[in-house]
Amino acid sequence: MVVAFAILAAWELVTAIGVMASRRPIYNALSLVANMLGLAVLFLLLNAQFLFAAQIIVYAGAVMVLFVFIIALLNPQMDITLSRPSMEWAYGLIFGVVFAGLILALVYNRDLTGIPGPFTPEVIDAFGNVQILGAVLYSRFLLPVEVTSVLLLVAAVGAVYLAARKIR
Amino acid sequence: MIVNVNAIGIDYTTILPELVVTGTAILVLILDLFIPADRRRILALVAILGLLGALVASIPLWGHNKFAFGDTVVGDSFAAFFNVILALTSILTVLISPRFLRARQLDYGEYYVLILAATAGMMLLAAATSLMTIFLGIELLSLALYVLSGFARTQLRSQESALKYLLLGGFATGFLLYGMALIYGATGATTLRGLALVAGSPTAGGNALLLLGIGFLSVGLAFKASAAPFHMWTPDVYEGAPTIVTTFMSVATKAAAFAAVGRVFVAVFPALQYRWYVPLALIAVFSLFIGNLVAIVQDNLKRMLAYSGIAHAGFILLGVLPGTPDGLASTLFYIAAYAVMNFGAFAVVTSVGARGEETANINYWRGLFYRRPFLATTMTIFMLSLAGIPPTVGFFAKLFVFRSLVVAAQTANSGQFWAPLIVAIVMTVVSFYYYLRVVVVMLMTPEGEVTEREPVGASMGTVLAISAAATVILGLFPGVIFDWASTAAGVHL
Repeated sequence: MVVAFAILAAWELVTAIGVMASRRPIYNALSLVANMLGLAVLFLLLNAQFLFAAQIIVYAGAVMVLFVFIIALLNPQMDITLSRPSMEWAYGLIFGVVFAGLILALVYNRDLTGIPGPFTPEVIDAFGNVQILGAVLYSRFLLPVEVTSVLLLVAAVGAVYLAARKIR
Repeated sequence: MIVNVNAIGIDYTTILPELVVTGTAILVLILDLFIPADRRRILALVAILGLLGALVASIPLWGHNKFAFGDTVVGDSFAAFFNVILALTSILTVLISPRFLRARQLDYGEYYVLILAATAGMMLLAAATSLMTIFLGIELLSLALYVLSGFARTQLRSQESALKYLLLGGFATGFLLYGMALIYGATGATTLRGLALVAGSPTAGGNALLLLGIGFLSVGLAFKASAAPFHMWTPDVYEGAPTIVTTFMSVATKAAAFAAVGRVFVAVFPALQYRWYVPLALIAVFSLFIGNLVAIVQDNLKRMLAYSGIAHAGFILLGVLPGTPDGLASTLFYIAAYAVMNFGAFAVVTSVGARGEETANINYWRGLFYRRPFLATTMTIFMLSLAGIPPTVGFFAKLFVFRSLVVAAQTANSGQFWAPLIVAIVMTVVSFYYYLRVVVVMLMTPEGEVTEREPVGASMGTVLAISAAATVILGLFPGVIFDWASTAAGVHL
């Protein structure tokens, strides 16, 4: 288990660096696909098979395919060049160091226990993965689910308004 | 596994204002299909009626503390206070919208749908008592505002404004979510009630995971409130967006963001005040410095008001610093005062710039008193109030915030509250320069010929008169609103 996690964590790091290191947008997007696939396997390690499938179908599948298509439709050969590299690099460096320091402080902190939730692997095995997710989603998180539907409606209205070629 | 949905406490009265606003948005969306293009005023009317309904539906929440839907929302005085501010802001916005939209050939029904959706998101944020609903409220209002910033979709400035807001907003949302994930990891709770239980335990102050999570959460909220150093988007977005959208956004978004800040820091984490005091005080001091100092050199009124908005975010945040209901009451009063005076100021900019955006340049305002005396007079009132000169409401807003810091310093008997207070007082004096500069410029003799360009319009005239009257009357009788703010600030979990 620990070994699998270590390999996956390394995979995630490498692909995450790939997202920002390459100057070709298409390689950035493909690295992001690889990163999301790794994340899906992490879900699998945590006994969340449904999330594993959803992550692959929705993110690595649908969302990223759109990304790759859009990049291919634009100019995939074009390199990204930063016009004024100096200041951006300085800001990024300062921010990166502070961020790394915070994460390090976390690693050396002894209180990283968290409080375990009610859904242990045994409980999930007894009731079934999808059943529990559905039950929680439509009881404890009923209102958030409903608000999400409004959110999607607003997104659709906004996207149609901005993208429509001609409005009455 | 048996699920009992009723056990989570389904109570539609707690979210009735949000439901009414969302329902109105859907109704407007459908009506837009049938109403001919030249009669879109009906949509504005429907929107106003819906918002009035939400206003009425908020009043029964006053004095209650009704948790519902598995502790994800609450109907209390705090939520009702913000619902009233938000509904009134939206009503005033919609009142002055049709004329502006027609002049810019932007008169589409989607505008009202998006304004209503943003209002629903803000109301949800004010009532949210769970990390999930806080996040969804912020996303709902942001998504609608991204599109509204780019509503003048054929104009490059508006497109740029929308894209900048979207990209930076997405980045801030990332921080917000990361913070929430860390908080969940540390506490195992998503509801604020559950969080407050863990945060009250003696070991919470040493839990790095929780503290880092709170830190990232504040970054996300400070972005929405446009507090420095997370303010970079504000001037560009405010300048590029259609002025009417800026008017709504500058007031309502700040109010909603501070509703979440107030509930999270004062109600959930008061025990950790000694931990979050310094970072939050730094954000306040940064906002005061950057907002006031950069506003001095702005020649574009929309940019000047954007920086002034950053400065006011600093003032508003001062009331949260003590971590007490008394301090929060002064913050709530400030938000109400800011809503009235800043809405008015931007509405004047809207009215002056109804023909095109270049009128936001200060040179155009030269001699406005002689050309358009009504607009210039109301603008003077709003500028004096924003500067904090008695007898306007802006003076008492600052006074109450300063007083809450002095009280906190005396009761805690520690010097830490003096530093932000001194910065705030010095920066108030600095702010006189750029607010009064507008008044002076308007009083100068006009260069060209004195011609009346176009009348103000009945609805705009009414809205400006109401805002100006409220700025003065609330300044003469601040006690009423302050009593309400004190009641609303007594948030319980």
